[in-house]
Amino acid sequence: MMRYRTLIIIPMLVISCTTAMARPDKRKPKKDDQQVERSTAADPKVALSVCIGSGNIVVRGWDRNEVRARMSDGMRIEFQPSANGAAPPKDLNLVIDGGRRGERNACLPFGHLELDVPRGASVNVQGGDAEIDASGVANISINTQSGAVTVAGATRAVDINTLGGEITVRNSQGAIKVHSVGGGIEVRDISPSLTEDVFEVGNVGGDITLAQISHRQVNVNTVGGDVTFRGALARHGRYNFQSISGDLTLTLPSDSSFRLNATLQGEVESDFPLKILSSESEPANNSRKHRKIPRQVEGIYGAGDSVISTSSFMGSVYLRKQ
Amino acid sequence: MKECIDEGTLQAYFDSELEGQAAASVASHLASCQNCAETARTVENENLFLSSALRIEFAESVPSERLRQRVEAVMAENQIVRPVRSNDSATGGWWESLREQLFPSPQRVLGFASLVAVIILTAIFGVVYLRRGEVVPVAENRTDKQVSLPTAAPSPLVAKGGNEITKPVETVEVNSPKKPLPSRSSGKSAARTGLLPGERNYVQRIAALKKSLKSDAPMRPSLQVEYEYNVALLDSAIEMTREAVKKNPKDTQAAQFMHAAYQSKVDLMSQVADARRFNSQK
Repeated sequence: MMRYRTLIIIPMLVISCTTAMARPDKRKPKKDDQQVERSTAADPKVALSVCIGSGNIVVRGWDRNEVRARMSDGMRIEFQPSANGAAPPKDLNLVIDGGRRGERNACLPFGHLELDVPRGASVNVQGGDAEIDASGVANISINTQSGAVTVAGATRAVDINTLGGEITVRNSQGAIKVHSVGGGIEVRDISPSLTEDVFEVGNVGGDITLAQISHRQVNVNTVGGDVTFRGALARHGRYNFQSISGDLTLTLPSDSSFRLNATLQGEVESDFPLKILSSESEPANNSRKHRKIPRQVEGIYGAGDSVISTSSFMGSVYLRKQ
Repeated sequence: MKECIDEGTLQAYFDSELEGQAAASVASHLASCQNCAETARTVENENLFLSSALRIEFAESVPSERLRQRVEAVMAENQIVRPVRSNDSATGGWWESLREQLFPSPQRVLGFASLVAVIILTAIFGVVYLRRGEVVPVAENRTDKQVSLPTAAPSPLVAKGGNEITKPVETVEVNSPKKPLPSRSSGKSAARTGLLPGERNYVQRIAALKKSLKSDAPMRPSLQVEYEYNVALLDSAIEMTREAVKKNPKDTQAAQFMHAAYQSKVDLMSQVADARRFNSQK
């Protein structure tokens, strides 16, 4: 009996091993690991829009008049409208392939997306929980709910708006507008591409770190975050800093020349010997305890080439020498 | 909760398995602890990824039909068996069995009696408290009518009738955020003293946005925590600036700060409303 059983078991084992080894699709990757790639000819200044529910998006500028998208997770994607041999399209949407043809707001549910676009392109990304890394494009506009956003090498305009993500912008030019509700903001090495370009940054709670900003018009607005500004002031530049309870620290070169208009309850601490032009302290009839009224301080250092206006309800202003 | 939250608790939080108190404690910890917030984000992302990837599987009925049939068969057998057992106690025995189950011993009878007494007492106190609660707000509203609207110009809000005046009182809740802040108590005093000049427009817009946010689909928990934290921050700012304006109504600077804080709150709520709309359209 034992012999028969062995005779049956051994061939069965051999057969199952052979079958497993000879399985034809063994080396094929699973469908979910597949990468879907689509590309299309495009205008050098093409405007590309993409929407993603959650995941990562990497956007890169390249020297071709072509847009290429690579999507992981086996999700089928397509460009709308597709190039039909005539002039390359100036407006493109990246959407899910099939079923939603013509639906311009079709949002990719999730995945890792890589986009290569012409350097002159304008890219508009809308996302839920999406991490976005964009570099080397002319215009970039990003609107997400959460997830870190990093932009570098933009040449014409940057517009970022998030609810909770951290924002980093580096080495970019043009009109810069950055807003995050709760996330911290860091912006470095920024310059205008046109004289009238404005730099605007704002948030509710996170800290704002700015360094080497060459714009002549800088507007910073926060409710509770601390603001740090480091770098030279633009000649005839106008700097507006507003906060309710955050502190402002400006670290400037020792040869700076500026006029300071401060409205605040806190203190002004300056490494620069300011010549006070006017100072309005709390009203004399203020006899109640703990009563704080914003006061105004106007001072000048050097020729007063740039104007720094700060208003803070509870915060203080620190002027430091580099 | 000073120590970091373990992953099990986090998972339970995202699965909405925690009780109200525990969930609130986790939410407040997440708002203050960066490490835990990071872990929470990871757990949430994993959940999102899984729910997206397994959407089809989740949509199918679980357990499988075969298993369900088997379970139903076993349940059916049990249902058949039970009556056989209960038949032993004969007709009319149901009262006996009920009595046995409810009052098997004098101690349990005493226990039941005290429970009933507690319920009755609670009901009496509840009725008395509710009756008191009905009276107090009316009294407060009356004082609002007399004190809160110092400007002589009749506004559309006032013209709509007395009930409308209570609306701002309700929306002053804006100034008493969910998170414990020192300004919480002064929110009530704000209600009593009424709205400051220029405040009404913001209060109305915030009330409208609040209503719209309530009707929209809820946000993901981590975003909700972030939102509530920032709303609390704004409420605190509004409260501070408001106090200053109240103490010195001629202080235009303080009024500007108050308006800026209100505007930030309106902007934040509009942005969140847009985000929720985006989520529901996805």
